Amino acid sequence: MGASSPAPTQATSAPARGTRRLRSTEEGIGALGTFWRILRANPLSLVGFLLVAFLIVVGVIGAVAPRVVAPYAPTQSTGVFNQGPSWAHPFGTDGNSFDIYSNVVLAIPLDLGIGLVIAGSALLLGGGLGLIAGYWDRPRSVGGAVATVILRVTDVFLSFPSLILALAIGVSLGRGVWQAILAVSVTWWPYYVRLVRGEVLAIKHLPYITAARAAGVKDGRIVLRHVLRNVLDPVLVYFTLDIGTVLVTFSTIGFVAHPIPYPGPSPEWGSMMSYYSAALVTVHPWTILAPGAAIFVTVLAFSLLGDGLRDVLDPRSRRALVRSVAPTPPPESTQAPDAAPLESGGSTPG
Amino acid sequence: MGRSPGDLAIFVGKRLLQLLPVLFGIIVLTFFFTHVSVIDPCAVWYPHAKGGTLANCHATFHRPLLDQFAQYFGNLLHGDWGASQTGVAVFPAIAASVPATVELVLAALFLMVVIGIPLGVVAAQAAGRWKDHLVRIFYLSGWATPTYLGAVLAAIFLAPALGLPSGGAFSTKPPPFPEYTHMSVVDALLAGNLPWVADAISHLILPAAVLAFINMGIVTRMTRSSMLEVLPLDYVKTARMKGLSEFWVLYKHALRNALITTTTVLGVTAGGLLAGTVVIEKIFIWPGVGAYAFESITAPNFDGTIAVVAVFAIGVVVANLIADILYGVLDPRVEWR
Repeated sequence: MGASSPAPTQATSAPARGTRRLRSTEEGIGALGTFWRILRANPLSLVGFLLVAFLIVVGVIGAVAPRVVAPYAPTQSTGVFNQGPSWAHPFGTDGNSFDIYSNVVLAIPLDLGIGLVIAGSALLLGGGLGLIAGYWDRPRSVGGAVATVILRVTDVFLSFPSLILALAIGVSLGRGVWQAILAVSVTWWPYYVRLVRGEVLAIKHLPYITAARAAGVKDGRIVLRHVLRNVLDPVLVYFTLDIGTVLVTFSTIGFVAHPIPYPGPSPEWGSMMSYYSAALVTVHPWTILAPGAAIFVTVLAFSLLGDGLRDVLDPRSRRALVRSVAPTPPPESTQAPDAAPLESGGSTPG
Repeated sequence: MGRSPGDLAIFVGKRLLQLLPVLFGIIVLTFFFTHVSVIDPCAVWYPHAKGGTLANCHATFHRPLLDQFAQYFGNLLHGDWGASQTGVAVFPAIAASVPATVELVLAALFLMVVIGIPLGVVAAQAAGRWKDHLVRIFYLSGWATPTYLGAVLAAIFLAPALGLPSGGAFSTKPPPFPEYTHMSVVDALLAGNLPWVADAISHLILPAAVLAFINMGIVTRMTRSSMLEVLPLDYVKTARMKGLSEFWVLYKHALRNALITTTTVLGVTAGGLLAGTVVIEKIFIWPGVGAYAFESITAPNFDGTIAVVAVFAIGVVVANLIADILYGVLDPRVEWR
């Protein structure tokens, strides 16, 4: 327990955001340099990165040539019933004599796809609305009215646990992958509105945006070329973390609503877990542990990667979060959010 | 605008007023999602019914949707929350189960605070070194655990190993004393029956621990990053120079300021905590709103589902409001407005 030394993560977050961006493009550090900084800041993110890469590779192979990674088809009888893990069946077999390992591996493409589709559609929809609500927010204009409507609707969605609504919708839409994806997507986009809007508000009064406007660049072009590019980092960090969150949530939906038939041609981890109901845990624990561990490892991988990315790319993530829950939203037209009263809590000058 | 009690009252009133349109939006959303997407609820509820029951059911559900909504909402304004398809009234069922959930969530919050915050301090102090990584793995593990898996493993493996019960709120149901508040520990305390207090706590601890473990990440992470911001400041250095012990410097001086942001985040976790109760209460047979939500969503019990979603929304809004008030109490620079 010595005196605390300055953290490496802190050192990287020291320079102000705008200047850091400029510098990194000018010096041409590029993707590899960023990548190295991330790994140096936190070896755990390297683990996360390798795991994610591994899952994607196995997932792609599993989707294209299932036989390469999985010895059995999802619903192929092996002739061995309720057997524990062995060399032939690494995760054992179930009461139908189906191979658990094959089912777990063959679920990777579907589960990764679900995570990507839900988080991706939320990013596009919520992010787009956030850009609009953040950039065109002058009071008493058409844009301002649109922004107000967007924010009010977002508030409705943000003010309750999305899982509950997703469950309600998921059960009533009935079985099917797309129904379940729709049910979660309906509730998933609002946080992206808040996140992107906050970021846009933070940068839209920086000199380079003002300069672009003064030079007569059209609003649409400013948003696409200048604003979008500079709010992308924190959004991508959140997106990476979000893929994991989607999978955990989806597993709960699988438990309550059974959206994807299991056993079936396209297995999914959440549905697998709930199929091998809790009573089996004591007798054949591997049936539940295998898909459960698959979800755990996948979410952990994306979280480690996102967590590492965040430390490097988004030094203001904490303040952004505080801003998103501030009792008084920042004055919308004239000031950057840094002027909001609550911000003083985090950024007291030393 | 200021910090007088009057300003606080106006602030709270405003926030509660803002809750009304939100509630209306949620009720509309849930009503239409439940009613539109289940094509023929009568066939689901009464698969073998003929004649009277079915005709009654059709008379209710084969009317224009707006008619149905107008009737539902009219009843709601009169305090009638509707009933399940088997005729069990919604309001008494929810009213009896809310306290149990509040108790569970508060117990989980308590564990998150007493475990999560010190972990964040330890991680900040050792930032970038192995203790920091260990803490990170711990809270990310909670984050990555599917609620269902965590609850099942705890109920089936952890409970017998620790000698704890794995279901219900008391060893006998109902307990041998009146349940005034429907919060198990509080009721046992009111009865002045210490063995039953212990019994209630032993039933509460496992579901609360699972709920806390799954939601702890954000608290630890936030404490860590606010500590990292506070530790290099001059007043912390001054405290060290005065020769105060490291423990005193960290927990008395630095943490006090770092806690301000963590408090706000505790409000944010309300959503995750409430969502977690759906699965955890179902598996631990906890008599709360989460279990009720599970039953009404899977039934499907339309009136129950709408009410439960609304109750959860109220819970989240109120939790955030409390967190904001605490924030203002802790940080004298915040003005109510």
